[in-house]
Amino acid sequence: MNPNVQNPTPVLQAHALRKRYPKAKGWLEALKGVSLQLFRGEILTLLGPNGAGKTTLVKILAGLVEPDGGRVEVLQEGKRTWMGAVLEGNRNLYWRLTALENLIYFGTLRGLIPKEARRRGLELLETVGLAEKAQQTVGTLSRGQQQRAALAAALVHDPPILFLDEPTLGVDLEAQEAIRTWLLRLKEQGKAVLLTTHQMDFAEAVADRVAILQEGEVVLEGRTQEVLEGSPGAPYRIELQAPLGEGDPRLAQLRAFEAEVEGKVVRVVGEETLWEVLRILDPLPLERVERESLSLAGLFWRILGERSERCSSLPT
Amino acid sequence: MLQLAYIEFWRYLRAFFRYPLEVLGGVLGAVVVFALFFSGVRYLAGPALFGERLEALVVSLLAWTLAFSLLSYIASTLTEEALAGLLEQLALTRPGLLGVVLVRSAVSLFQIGLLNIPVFLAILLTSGARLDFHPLTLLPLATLALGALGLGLLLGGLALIYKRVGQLVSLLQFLFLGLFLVRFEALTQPWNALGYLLPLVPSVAALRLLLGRGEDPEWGLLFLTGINALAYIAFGIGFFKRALRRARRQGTLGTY
Repeated sequence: MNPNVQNPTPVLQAHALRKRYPKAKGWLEALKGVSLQLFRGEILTLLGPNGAGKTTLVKILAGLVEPDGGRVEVLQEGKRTWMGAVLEGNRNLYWRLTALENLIYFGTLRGLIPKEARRRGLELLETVGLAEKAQQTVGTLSRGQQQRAALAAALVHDPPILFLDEPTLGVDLEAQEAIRTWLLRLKEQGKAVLLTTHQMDFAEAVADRVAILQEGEVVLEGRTQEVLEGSPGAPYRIELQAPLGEGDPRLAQLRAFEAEVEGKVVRVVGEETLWEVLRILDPLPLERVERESLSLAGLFWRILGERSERCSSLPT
Repeated sequence: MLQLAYIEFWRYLRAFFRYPLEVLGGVLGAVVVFALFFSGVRYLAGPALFGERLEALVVSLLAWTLAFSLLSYIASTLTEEALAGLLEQLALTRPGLLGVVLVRSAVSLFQIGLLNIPVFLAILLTSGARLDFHPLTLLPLATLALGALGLGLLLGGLALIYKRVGQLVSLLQFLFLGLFLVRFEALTQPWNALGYLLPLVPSVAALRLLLGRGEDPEWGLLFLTGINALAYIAFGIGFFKRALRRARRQGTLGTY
């Protein structure tokens, strides 16, 4: 599903956002003209190493940090509080109140009447598997349970836009799975979710689109599958009808082109290499030739590697 | 607005009944300090020490207790919430951080007023002072509270930017004690007029006249108490807004 076709109007748009912070000598350019769009019913995942500008970007979009340049447009109807957020490094909740009390409090501050906030709160705690912990003070919950309660609090007023900055940081696998399932459900409900994470498998499992941020710039952005399949780093998979024999002289020739041979399967990277490899394999009978998807982690590290190589090759 | 006030009061009561000793301990501490102060002074120097000034001293102390509780409340709450990483969540609410802080301040008038009653009784009982309560007293009490909230917002704004303002609050405690003990109403011009420009001073002067001496203050002084309080609350709100904007620009709202 292409959100640009089904939902032509983005719920949130950022244009050329710039932000810099003073540091010991000079300035730290946190964002260098970042633009992006967020649509209903999609999860956009921001990836990037530490210090790439992810948190600054999320906070600018949420209106918590003022940009030095550029603007953010949020599609709004009525007086609703349009955003909910779980922010990295923050408690997000009052530890001395129970999970339910937090949801009632934040729900009321975000426009619900207390009775409605209580009803929504109980419903959400049930959804995130914390119904039995509703009356327990947040400080006594485990990290994973606190994170799930924070997610519930961010959604108690039913906002169309949700910002999640590292929601799975420090939580166990069970809680991660619960968060993943819930995020997919939120997407189906039409929420626009902006997620930042360092966990590539998590990102790959939930993201409709990915944007890789490095040194304050978006270096790659697109729909997850298209980005992975269309990546020049994605390998070609050649399946032979029979495996090559141990002493086959073609094995050495294939390895010279950095081809990976595994039974009947030969993998190569790059179109030119593919044709060279096919020439070497000629006239062996082939089963199929196809392009494989790169994993998000593979793509991420390749892009980071390419960027650092480019930077190191620049004249100083 | 009423709903916000309700939910803030509800949140306060929940925390109060869950951890009652935390609040009551502070009140008990203040009661003991004042009781020991007046009993100790009486024991050492005899009842004639304060003479005619006893009532004026007691009113100054009452005003100081009330005003300082109010103004330190905002700063300490904001510092605690910055430490807990909650300011950004409060900023993402419909009234925003300023709205939440203003509503909390209004609610705190009631909480602090109530909690200070035992402190006031302890001061009155141990000092032996006799105060006249005139309904007009409510006016300078209200302006005192309003002015104190203005100063609280000023300190709160500083807490947003500098986070750790505990030492400044402690310092102000003594500065205000000194300020409240000076009887500006008894000074000659221009010190009298200049004194009335200082925060909360006209309200304390009016309270001293009303409660301590049983005299009605001049309408001019009552008018000044209102102007002074409004000026400081307006300044406090303006400063807080600027501080909030600066914290947003620096990206330090959520950091401690």
